[in-house]
Amino acid sequence: MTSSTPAFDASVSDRIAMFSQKLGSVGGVAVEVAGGTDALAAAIVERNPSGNTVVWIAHETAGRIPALLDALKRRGLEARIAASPADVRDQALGLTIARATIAETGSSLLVEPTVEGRSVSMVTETLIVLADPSELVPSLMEAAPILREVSANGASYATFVTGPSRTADIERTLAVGVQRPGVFHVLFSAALR
Amino acid sequence: MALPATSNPAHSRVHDTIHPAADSAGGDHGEPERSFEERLAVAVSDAQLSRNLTNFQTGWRASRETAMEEIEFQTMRERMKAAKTDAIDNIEHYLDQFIRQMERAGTTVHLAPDADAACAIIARIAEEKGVRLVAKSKSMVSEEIELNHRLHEDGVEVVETDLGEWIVQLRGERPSHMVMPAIHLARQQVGDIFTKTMGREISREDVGEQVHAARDVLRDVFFNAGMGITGANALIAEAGTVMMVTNEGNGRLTSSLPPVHVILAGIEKLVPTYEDAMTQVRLLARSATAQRQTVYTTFIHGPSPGHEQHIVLVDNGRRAMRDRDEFREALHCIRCAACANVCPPYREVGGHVFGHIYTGAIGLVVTPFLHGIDAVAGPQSLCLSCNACEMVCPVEIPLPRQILDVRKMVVEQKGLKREKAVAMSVYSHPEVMKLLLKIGRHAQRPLTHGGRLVRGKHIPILNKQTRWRSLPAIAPARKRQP
Repeated sequence: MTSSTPAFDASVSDRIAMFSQKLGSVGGVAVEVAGGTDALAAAIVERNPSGNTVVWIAHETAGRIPALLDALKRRGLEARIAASPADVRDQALGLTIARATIAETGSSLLVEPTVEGRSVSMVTETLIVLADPSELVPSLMEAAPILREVSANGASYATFVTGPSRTADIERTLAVGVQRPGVFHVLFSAALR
Repeated sequence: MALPATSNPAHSRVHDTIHPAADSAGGDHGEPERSFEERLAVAVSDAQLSRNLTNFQTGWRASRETAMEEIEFQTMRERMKAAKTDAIDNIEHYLDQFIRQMERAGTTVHLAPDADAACAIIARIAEEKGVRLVAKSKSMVSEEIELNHRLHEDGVEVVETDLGEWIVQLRGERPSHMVMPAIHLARQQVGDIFTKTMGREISREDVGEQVHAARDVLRDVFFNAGMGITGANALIAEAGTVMMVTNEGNGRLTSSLPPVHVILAGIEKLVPTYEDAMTQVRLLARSATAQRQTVYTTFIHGPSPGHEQHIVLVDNGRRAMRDRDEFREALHCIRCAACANVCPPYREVGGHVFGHIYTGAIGLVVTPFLHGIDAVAGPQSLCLSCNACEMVCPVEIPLPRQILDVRKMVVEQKGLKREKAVAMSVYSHPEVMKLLLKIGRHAQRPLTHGGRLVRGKHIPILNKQTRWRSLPAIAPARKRQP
């Protein structure tokens, strides 16, 4: 669960708590990471599947967090840009950044214009989503204007992702990771601002 | 089923796994559909089917109640109903707006007046692009227009990528439920068909193993398909955006990996704004799978860079439905299938009997417009008018009343069975009724005991009705004053 820090006002902390509870109920995990880029890198490495040394990332995401990628490299996790979906197919770890998050549902809004970038969140085994707490909105209704803005300038592809891939098509029995990811983390960090 | 020739080993492996079973119940592959009476006889004698569906309905109702606790259901469904009423009442306006925005984003828009036209459009795109393998995510409209069958005829292989849809495709069946297509099956039956089609032993008990085995096969389909076909849960008019919800992620893969993406949608899927779509999100998963929200809610606005996108907007009887006041509200349906999940007859016989492609209460209402009166003549007789469907409908469609209107249409067009016609004629003539009761009161004596007709004794006309139950006898004296 979350640990509140002086960096966040009470309402944001409440929202993160609600987000974590909602996401937790569908098999995802959300935590708030206090501190800067190094702390965030440490939190990512902590969630890296054992023995894995590569984190896959979209080109458009990589350009936004060069310092974080350097910090990950220092900790033995090398970032690779997904040049095609085949690169990422069933790889161990993917990393992306949410455009916004929604407390009501525990959803992360991923805006992924390119297929190769999108493949990071579609076919990796473990997905880590980074989220700026200041872009955590209370409800779906506040997400509507964000979607409007996303689609205002040409083609776009946006998704609310709410936990790991799942199915209950056989006897309503839950099975997680059906098309992957099977493990889904959201890390809230003010270092993304 | 003819398989397209291919030199790609991955293609061969995929194709080898998708032969429908020979003992098909009649699906979307050109085999003749069994009659309603035959399907009903099979279903009522299948104890496992009723067990599977009873377990499903019981579990679903409890989960739905929990999921609904977080929202004001009545307020929310009134809001959704208002949005859909606006969309359907002004369908041409919102359709124009949606098309303009979608074209601006780079999507090619096609309008299909009927099922044949929709199939022909998609078949032509497949031919022009040299597509041999299609990955498809769940689309009830594709079932409605029997798209798979048409593409198979052209030598194009279509693989369903929703797990439940794929299972029923492997068995050569149609989905028995709009949201959970394989809910009529037990895990042992899934293990059997996977073992048979994958050519290796797959667990009959471990659902996790079954799911992962399916993923291995479907991965190749996503990566090798020349075309991806998806449905749409909402068409957001203000922006020209298609909303699509899935839990497995197959919808995102289908709409992303193949170079050509085709969206297939009925024109009634329009909602005016993103806010309306959010209301739908709040209601849809809670009503469909009793979840707060599906794992993936995707908003597609135009093709991805380097890819091609088409949308086929299908009428196929929808405007005719809009023009009938008594049926217009059926176009508000968001295809959650909650009406099937509370339906007592559905629980006994399943969707292969209770409906025709579209199943449950809403299936009985839309079928005459989409597939003709013959397709609904038998299934509509199963409705008990218990009203459970209307209670749970997230857009408050008056389904029980509409089903009675469908029943009326069936009687008007197909007529009544002889004995029912005679009975109705007598009821409508009080003097004749009074006379027959008087005669019957005396004539029934040898057949009655303790105020009831004796079961199994031969009674002309009513033999079938009295074979398995003891009907009350005609009262010895009239209770009603003339």
